[in-house]
Amino acid sequence: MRLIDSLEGLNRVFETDIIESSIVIVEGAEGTAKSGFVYHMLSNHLESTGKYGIYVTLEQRKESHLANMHSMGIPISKQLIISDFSEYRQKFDHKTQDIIGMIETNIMLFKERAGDKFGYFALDSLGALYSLLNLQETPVRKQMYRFFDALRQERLTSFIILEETGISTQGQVLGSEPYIADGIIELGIRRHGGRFARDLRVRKMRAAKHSMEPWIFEITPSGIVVKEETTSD
Amino acid sequence: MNKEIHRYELTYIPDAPYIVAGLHFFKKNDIRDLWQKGTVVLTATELWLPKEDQWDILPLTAVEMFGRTLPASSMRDVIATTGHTSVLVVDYTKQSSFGTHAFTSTIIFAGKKDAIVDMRARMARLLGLSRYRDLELTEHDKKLLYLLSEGVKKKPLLLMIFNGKKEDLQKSFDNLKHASLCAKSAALTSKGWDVVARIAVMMGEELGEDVIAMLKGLDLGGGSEAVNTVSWSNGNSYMVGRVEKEKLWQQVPFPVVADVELRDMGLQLLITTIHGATIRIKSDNPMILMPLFDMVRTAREGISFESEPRKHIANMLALGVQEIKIISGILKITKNNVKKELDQMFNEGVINGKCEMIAEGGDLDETD
Repeated sequence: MRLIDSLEGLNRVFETDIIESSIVIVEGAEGTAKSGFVYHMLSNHLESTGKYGIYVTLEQRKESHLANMHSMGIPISKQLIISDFSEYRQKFDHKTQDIIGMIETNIMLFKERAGDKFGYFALDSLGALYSLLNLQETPVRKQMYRFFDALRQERLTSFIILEETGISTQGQVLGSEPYIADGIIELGIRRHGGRFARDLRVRKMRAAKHSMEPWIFEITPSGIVVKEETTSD
Repeated sequence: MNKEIHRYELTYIPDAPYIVAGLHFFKKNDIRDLWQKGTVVLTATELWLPKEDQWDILPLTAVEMFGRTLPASSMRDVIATTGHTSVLVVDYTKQSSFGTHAFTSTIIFAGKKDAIVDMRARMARLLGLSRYRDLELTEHDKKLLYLLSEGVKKKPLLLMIFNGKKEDLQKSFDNLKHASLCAKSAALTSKGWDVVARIAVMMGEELGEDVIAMLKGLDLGGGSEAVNTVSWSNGNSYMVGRVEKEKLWQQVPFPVVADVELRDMGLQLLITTIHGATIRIKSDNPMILMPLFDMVRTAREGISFESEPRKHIANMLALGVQEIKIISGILKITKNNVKKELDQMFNEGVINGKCEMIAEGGDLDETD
């Protein structure tokens, strides 16, 4: 199964698949179902391919995240391991020296367990990661470059969730991610035909053919379903 | 993503309340359920403890203390519930759930001795004395602390490490007490154990495991005269005989020593010469061979005995050589200077009027 076949209707947005080892930023404002979108796509894909992935949550507790997925009708996959760093942050936030290094270690240890079947990574979210970076020592752009490079070296297809807060974070000020990422999927809540609906738009995806238009998606009892192409009002 | 990581198969209690009194904080029946098993990972910056399909992570910067001992009753519980006798205790601070205050928690690791020793040594290298920047310990202080932790408390033994200088030993002991690293009884505090855990590898290497083992095993009871044998061999030639303690130094061809080794926990001195001869000096009292070893090593390295006159005069006295003329001749230190040092040692109570080392058999203990 291709990644774009993992969510109902997504293969209408994409003509060709997201290529392996891509780093895709999934950005959007609060309530746009970024976590659900990434989790549902990956869990379906891993279940059908027998592969493994890790979903690193820096803000939300594992239990809370899974309850949220359940409430959206998204099936839980044991092949998508939740690495919950939120508890770590709560306990040791002030003691953390190298959060990217820790995520790298987490990937390494998981790779030892799952071997070649480990091929997917998700980070929820980039904003939380920024808040843990030591910006005095190394510029954020350099740190992000190192991080993305490590993900590529490990041949992990990665989804990085970025919340648009309306207030620029230090990372966003520098604005390096769009340039070093392979793809950007933008999720939003906009007025379509007189009603508010969630939509997604692929701003860029290297080496993949895709629509540039917004596509409405809905949260149904069986998870996320991409419905129709539209144009925002 | 190539990182240096070390793995240890261990049994552990990952998040125990800070245990001061011991495991009896828990109900006896519950202790067995508290233990978890798995591959613990140590990186340069964190400890990773497996938990279901993920990990509990402890940043090393959160480690407050490690290596402290558990009370005997707790050790009994550890052995009874895990079957392991080797333990490593790690105390760390974490924020409360509301982040309003920090509190201390404890991880107890139990496992095979090799694993525990290796992990402890690596943690010591990684942590060092970084959190004790205010602690101004001299090399002597560290050595004393380490030896006390190894159970070496007899003053004469400790004085060997302090080159016979009682005032230096006392000064270090005072420093350790002042820094709350040990009590008047010379028993280490929790802080003392933590510092030892951090310096143990370094001190072990510096002092030498053989020397430490020898000091630990020494019996200062005195009693019967030691039996010393010397054998000399070179090719097919061989000689062997018994030698009195006072004459042992005469068996060593100081100017032609190529190598020297102290073996068998200090019971055998092996010397090789530049002419290919091997000299084995065996004694049933390591107190005799250690000063001789120190002198031979000094000579082999081409270091003048005069650079540390007090130490080598003490070595000669320990070998039973008390005549100023002989000491002066061997050590190439003027008779006047030898006499001056001996007078000072007498005034400090290190030797008696017959130039015999005063064996203060007591422990380093100032409690009444």
